[in-house]
Amino acid sequence: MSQLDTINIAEDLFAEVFHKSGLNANTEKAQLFEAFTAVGLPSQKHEEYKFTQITATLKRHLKSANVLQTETPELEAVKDLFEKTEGHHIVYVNGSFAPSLSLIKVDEITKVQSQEDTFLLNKHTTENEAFSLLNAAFSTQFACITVAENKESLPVMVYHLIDGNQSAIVNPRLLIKAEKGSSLKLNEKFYIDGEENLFINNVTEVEVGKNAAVNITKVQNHGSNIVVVDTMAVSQKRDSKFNANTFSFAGKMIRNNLNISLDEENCETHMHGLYLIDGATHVDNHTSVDHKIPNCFSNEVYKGILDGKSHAVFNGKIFVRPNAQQTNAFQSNKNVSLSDDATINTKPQLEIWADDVKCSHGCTIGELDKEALFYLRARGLDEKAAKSLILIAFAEDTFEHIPFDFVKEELHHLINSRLS
Amino acid sequence: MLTINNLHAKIEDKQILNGINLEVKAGEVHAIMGPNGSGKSTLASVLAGREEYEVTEGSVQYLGKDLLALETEDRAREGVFLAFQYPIEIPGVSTTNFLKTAVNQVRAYRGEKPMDAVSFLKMMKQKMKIVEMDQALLSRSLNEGFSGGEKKRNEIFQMAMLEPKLAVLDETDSGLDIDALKIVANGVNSLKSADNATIVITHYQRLLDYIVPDFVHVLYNGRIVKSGDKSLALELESKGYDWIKAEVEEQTV
Repeated sequence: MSQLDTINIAEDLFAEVFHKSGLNANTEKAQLFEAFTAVGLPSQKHEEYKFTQITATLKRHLKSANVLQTETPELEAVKDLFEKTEGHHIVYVNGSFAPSLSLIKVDEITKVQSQEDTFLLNKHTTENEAFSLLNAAFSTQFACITVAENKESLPVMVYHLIDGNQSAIVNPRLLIKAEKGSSLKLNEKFYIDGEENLFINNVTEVEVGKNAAVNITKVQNHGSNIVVVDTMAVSQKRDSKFNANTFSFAGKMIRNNLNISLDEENCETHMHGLYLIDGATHVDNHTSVDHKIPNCFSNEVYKGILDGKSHAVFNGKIFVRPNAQQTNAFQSNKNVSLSDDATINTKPQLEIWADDVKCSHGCTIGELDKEALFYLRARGLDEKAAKSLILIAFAEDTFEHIPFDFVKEELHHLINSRLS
Repeated sequence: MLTINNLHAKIEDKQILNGINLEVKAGEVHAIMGPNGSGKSTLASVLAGREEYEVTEGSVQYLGKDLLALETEDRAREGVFLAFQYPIEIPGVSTTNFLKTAVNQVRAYRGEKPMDAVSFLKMMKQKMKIVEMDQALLSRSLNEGFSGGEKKRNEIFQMAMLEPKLAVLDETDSGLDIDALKIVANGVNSLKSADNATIVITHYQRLLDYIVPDFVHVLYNGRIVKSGDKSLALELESKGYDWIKAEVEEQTV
């Protein structure tokens, strides 16, 4: 079968679902879907998808698919979660924001509105991107979080409840606006019931206002029936701070697009990520930071531990535009492979047009440090304990900016159970 | 305590040890000296169980056991301690953190109950004094960003915590200034008892002013070519290694 056939079949599949859903009757949605078709799914040769054959995977994965209706799921499990942490609890069901199931405290600080109009907050990063357009065409009800000026929001927990008892495509969308001087910490998690094949096409758009701070943590730990494209587009205003913490543990294929645009001076950005994968899991992190103006700082630390036949891709773009003098941009991607059958493709991509900048990048792929292992064993630790000590320390180095202790604990347990 | 008999070892295709014989009894301090490349560090590595080295001939008996048949960790648990010439840096793993696991795994091996956190801390505080170790250093990543002296002191601190029967100090003095050297040597001396033994591997005589050996052995081309008391070390210091080399050449001819 030719490449073109593969793309056509996958696109036809989405078109079929789109029609079945009745969304084509909505002119705006129909236009968005048309825009998606015009851009088209990435081909095998697409530079940004060279190592992640998303189109072919989707074609095989979604023989038929539906758009799931918002139904009331068993909420008991989630209610328990509500108890666990103080804050606003935002529930999505099958990709749609479910205000009636959410627990949002009424305060003057954090406003959560249900949106139906699709607008693209960060046009520059999403409008030419197939999956963002696909999401825009399909997403019908989503949350828009606004944090009021100079206020600190209670933590926000976003729960995605998805019914995986029939094959489906799920398109959650979330908008975040942190007004001047405000701050927000958000954690996102998925609860999926059922074994049928799903495609989760998640889009988050974040606008970090002047002197505001937003910190987002995501944990991706899915079954092998889940394919994910997760796109996060962030724009930062003057003196703002943004943190992304992305943790990927399992799934069939996970592609994360994290695009950050530094629009005004003195912004600070931290991107931390960990992929700890085995089996046939494929995780691809594509990140980009666009330093458009002077005096901004960005730091990126992604780490990977691979076992089995897993495959990891890392692509880190840093653009430093001609005007962006005094930029500090750092990037590191370190990988440890525990298996001969695992594959890692890592590519730092720095494009620097300014001349007075400090930039560094480094990527490593290695096995477990034998010298370190010997050192610990020579002090009486057995090989297993020595290995897990080294790997856990390596992995947890990415925890630095997680603002939630309960998430750290949860991750610590997950990492421990995998590595010891 | 330790009997090394006709020990031969190689790394890849390079033969390094060519028949070492050495007898170490409890309570003794042995110094092993020799020019660069004579096999000093190889001997230490073979005793500790470094896997890259292959023993091709000979045996090592330690407290009645075949040492070479034991895994690296079991040698440590039996009381063999190697102070590394180049202590390894392990990011994210603190000395405190890994030592707690180490001490308790050693205790479990000996059929002893694990140490609780309070007793462990107490023991640490006490042992830290021996090498004038700063507690803050122990909660930092192991050896990362430590100075040469701090790394070596950390080695002796770990030795104090693990209370070995046989300590092998591999070039513990190299790269140390005189103050750091004294601290390290004092640490080693204070751990000395009638029940344990120490093998000091060094290139320089200087350390032996502070850790006084009962025996001095000269290693050359993978064999012990001369043994004596501490005066041999002084002789080596003043005359260098060339006369030993010459003596060996003569014997071979």
